Amino acid sequence: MDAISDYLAMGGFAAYVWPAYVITVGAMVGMIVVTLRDLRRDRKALAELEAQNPMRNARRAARATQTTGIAGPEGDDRIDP
Amino acid sequence: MTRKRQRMIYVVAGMVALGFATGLVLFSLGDNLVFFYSPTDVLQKGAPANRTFRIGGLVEMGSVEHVAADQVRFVVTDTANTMKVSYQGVLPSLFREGQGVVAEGRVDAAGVFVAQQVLAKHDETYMPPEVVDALKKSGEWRGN
Amino acid sequence: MAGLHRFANPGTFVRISAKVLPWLAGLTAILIGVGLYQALLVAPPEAYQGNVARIMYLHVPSAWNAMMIYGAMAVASATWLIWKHPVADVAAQASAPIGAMFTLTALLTGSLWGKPTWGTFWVWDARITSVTIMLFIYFGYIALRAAIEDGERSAKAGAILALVGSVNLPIIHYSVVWWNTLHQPASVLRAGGPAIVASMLVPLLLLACGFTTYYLTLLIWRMQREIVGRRVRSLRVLQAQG
Repeated sequence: MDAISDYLAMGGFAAYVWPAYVITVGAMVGMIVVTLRDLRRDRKALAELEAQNPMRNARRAARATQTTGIAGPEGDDRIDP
Repeated sequence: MTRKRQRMIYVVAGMVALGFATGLVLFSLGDNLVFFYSPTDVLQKGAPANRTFRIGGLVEMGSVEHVAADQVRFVVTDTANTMKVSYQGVLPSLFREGQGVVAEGRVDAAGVFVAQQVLAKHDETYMPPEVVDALKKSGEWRGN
Repeated sequence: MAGLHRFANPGTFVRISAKVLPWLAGLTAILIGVGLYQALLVAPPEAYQGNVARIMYLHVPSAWNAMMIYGAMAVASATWLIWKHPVADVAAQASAPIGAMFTLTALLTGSLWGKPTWGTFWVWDARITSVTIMLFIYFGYIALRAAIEDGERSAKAGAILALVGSVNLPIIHYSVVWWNTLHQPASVLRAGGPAIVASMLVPLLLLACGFTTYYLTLLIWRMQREIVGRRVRSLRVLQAQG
């Protein structure tokens, strides 16, 4: 028990060492969680949109992202209505 | 291909110009970016009057004198010149003779640097205590 | 040239990255897991600083990676400006928040390290000031990309800002050499070899590599999200037009 509390005290620097580890590891884990949540949400939205008009939308989107990589209005002029 | 080439030339030329401009700015700023002055700088250029500034160097071996409870006197050296420092307050844990130190304050009438704040400066070596002991034993140690 | 263009295709990127991803994620878990174990339990306390020097194992890898990621973002930006590879723009945009996070953790852990050793949480020495400027360039880049809706213009403005800001990188690295600072000179990358014993160098390098593979893993996820997100937005625009 003493060995553990000795270790956790970090030679009197516990108030500096542990917050540093918690902040860094917490930020790194938090960023992964947020990114994966957004990725899942956007994938679901894409699947729903493609299901509404599968053939035409998929072809158009693929071409729009391939020519400019940017899904903006300027990409649309290149696609026939 | 020519348009890509043209864009590449723009990017490269832009970066060269930017680097050049930054270099000029840094060069002209010069001393204003200095965090502290060495005792030699102060001796050559004179101490700024009525303005606090920082001096930095090593705490001279054997110079630390605890004159009162939290009143300490020591000498800062850059191995060429020295400066006497007096300080009232809590010293950082890394403060020790032979180690780097940065003090902020001003020079009084007697030529003593009266510090309001003392910061310790670490060097770039990282060692466990046993290695320090071993180095001291073998006479290789150049610290304190 | 033909080889490079294959990677410029978002479809190709998604296919290749999906294959690499599990390996990168596994490698990251191992490197950071072993690195943290070594940093907290195996490495000895430092002779003068004691256990507080364990903050180094997070502070230094954070700072290195923050700079490395900025460099990657600048290269990706130049690639986009010159060759207009859409994937390069996606990579630059996806890198910025990761780099900003590492800059922030470098500053925060540095502050927690500085208080007990130097005697202050914060000083405006050249190293800390130039890293703080990098943090604000990251923030500015993220805000700029969010503020401009038009994809092409957003990419161009971001790329130019990223390239302009890259002059700061050599300033950060050489700040401890060019000016007197409170920071010590480089311990690892210096002439004459590292000035740090092996038992401390091992966790430092493990975590530095672990943070880099973490960046690559998260980068792939963020790029996948960006590509899917752009497709969703374009479909919504098309749908609105009927």
